[in-house]
Amino acid sequence: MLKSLFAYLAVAICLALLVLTSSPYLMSKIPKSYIDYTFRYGDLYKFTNLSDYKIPVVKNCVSQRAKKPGNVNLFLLGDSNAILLNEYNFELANEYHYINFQDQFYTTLDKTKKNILIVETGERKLHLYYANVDYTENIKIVQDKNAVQTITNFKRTRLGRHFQPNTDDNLNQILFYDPVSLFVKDFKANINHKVFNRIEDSVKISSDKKYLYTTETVDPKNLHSAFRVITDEEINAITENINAVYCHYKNLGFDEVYFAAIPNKENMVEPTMGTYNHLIERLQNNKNLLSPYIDAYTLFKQSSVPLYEISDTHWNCEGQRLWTETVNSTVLAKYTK
Amino acid sequence: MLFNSLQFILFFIAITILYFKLPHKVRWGLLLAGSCYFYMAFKPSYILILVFTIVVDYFAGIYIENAVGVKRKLFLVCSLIANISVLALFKYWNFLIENLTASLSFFSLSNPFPILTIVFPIGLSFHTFQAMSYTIEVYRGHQKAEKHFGIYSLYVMFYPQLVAGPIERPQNLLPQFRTEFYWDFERVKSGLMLVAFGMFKKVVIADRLAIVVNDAYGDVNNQNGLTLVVATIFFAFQAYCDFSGYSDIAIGSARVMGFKLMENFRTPFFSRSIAELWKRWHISLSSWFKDYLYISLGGNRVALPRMYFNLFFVFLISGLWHGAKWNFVIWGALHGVYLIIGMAKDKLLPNMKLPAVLQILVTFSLFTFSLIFFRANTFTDAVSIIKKTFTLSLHAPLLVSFNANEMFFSVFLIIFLMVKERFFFAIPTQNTTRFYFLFVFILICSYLFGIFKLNQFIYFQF
Repeated sequence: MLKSLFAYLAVAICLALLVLTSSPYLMSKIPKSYIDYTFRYGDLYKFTNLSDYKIPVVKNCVSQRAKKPGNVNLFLLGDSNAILLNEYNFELANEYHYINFQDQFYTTLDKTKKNILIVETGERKLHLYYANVDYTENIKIVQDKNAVQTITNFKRTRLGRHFQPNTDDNLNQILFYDPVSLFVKDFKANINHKVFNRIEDSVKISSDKKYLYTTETVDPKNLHSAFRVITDEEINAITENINAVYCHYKNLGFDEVYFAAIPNKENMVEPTMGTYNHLIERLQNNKNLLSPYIDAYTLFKQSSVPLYEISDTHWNCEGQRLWTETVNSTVLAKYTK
Repeated sequence: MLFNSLQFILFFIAITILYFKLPHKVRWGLLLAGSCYFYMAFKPSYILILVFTIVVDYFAGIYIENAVGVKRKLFLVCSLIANISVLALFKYWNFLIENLTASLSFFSLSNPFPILTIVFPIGLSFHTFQAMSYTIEVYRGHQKAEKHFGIYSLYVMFYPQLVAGPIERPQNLLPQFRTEFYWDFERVKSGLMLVAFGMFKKVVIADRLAIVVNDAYGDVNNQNGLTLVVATIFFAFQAYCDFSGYSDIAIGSARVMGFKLMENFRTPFFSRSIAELWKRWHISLSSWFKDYLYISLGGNRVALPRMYFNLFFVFLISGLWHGAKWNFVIWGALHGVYLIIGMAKDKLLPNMKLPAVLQILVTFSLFTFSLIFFRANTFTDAVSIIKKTFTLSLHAPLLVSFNANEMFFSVFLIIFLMVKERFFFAIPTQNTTRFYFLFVFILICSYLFGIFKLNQFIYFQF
């Protein structure tokens, strides 16, 4: 009897896990706090499990604080850098909306306010995004406030939104991020690192052993790398795409549309690693660029403090602060009475 | 769904427990539903191709059984054409068109047929051959047509052997779906041990050796002869561990439920001749070709030149079965030539025998040499590898991404595998305490030393 009970319980657990992890819809219902928990030591640690880099990452750099809302509704269309920000980063914004590149946001525009859109992209994804992704689909303006909604993963088919055949990443995400599992994973990773000098392919260790990088941004042959040779034709093509996005959202009713690129971690932390292609500067200085921009590259280059997490691809609290303060002081303040 | 995935572990636990908990009469339904999910985990739409094959062959079986004379043959031919057409469309169309384009361009003509941008359905050659085996056996009168559509579907789709064999025969598999298997702990232990060691072979040995192989074969021009020789030897063991590992997991997971699938590998690297190797390597495919093609062509009961031709032809087709590339055709042809030379030598010099160890080494070397064509991305690469192999310098550096420890570990794994295969082909499981210890130990080693990148099995592409 007891054996049967255990057997059925095991079946129920296995099936429940398979159903949950094969459904993007159900996975999206998992609390964000749990997802953040799995990234608590950074995304690059998550890939490698090297215990030398098991350093907690601060998730909420800005605590809840009194805002001084102005005349601006800020829309930030961005990638995983922007996920880390929240409304308290932009104290002058009357309303703050973050739209992920994978989502589609249906919104109204309050014409009594200035509606400012910042299109933020990490440098490593910049070429890829502007070459392959149509950013003009991410925000749709509606008149009816009841029609305001966000469609997550809007480019996926209806079937794709409800069924994901390969569930392993999701299973790993759900089952193996408790301290005991991490201990076992760290043990495996350390054996392979110390004995075979082998770490997860997608991650590289910096020359001074202080940072983890993503391989794709280090490898000069990779499209994501800032050390890749990039031609003027490519720069012009990307500029055209940035302009197309700029014109589209201006026509849609936004008062201003800013372009913002966040530099790759390696060429800020270890610029001697390769020959930088100056992608961001070349875009910003392109005479054909219509869009105003937020110059994170110069800002970060001048900083003397570390702006990136050790075991994460993204900026740390200082990096976020530097960038958001610039947005506050140069963009939002400009439109605030 | 890949065997080396978390998803499979959960799936396997759920299906196996439910299989024993459900009444016998509905078990086929559970297995069929599970098999559909298993296959759809690769790409859901692929299942439509399977449905087509199943429907065609199900009715073909019934019609063949009920028909007499020419009609009987006609139904068989129709079924074979339908099966081969599916294979031709998904696997060989682009190969044919590329060659047609090349041939026509020689005469300054253009090819009107388009190249198709379709993804090859995983395991298509395996389940198509299994389906063809059914209609041929019904035609030959060795197998009654299966009237139960669900059970016939399960014959084609049975998840353990759906995507990479063993390619089963209806006489062996179909009756087992009607047999009520009970929980037998001895059998379960032996099945689980096979699964565990199959997993070890795949993730610890095959996927580790694959790192060297992929680096070397991915950039042939920048490799030296020594590196390419090491990579080719590693590939022989990678291919063996990858495919026999898959077969072990398939046979083991079926055995846990009570099903007995046919053996697919029997220590092939201890073969003393290429002929013997083919009785020990991918047994279910070589016996398929022997039963349904070689014998149909006349087999051994023809004049010697014709027999040699039959042999050569069968291996040429076997090469083509592996992939729509000239390299595979050459690989098959090479094995045909090996076999013919071997048979001719036995006839002309029956008393000439090398010591056993040398015979094993020569067989392994010939087999490994043929694998250059099997693994190389292009014919030009294969030729370049052979040239570099014959001009190698032992003083050249080994250009692999392994450090000394990993190289030593890889060689140790190969030696360990060979010793294990020679002396403990099946790991004993009668002693329960020892079973638990070994089972857990193998799983721990597989986890700690395994390379987990959700690597597909090599034979899935066929």
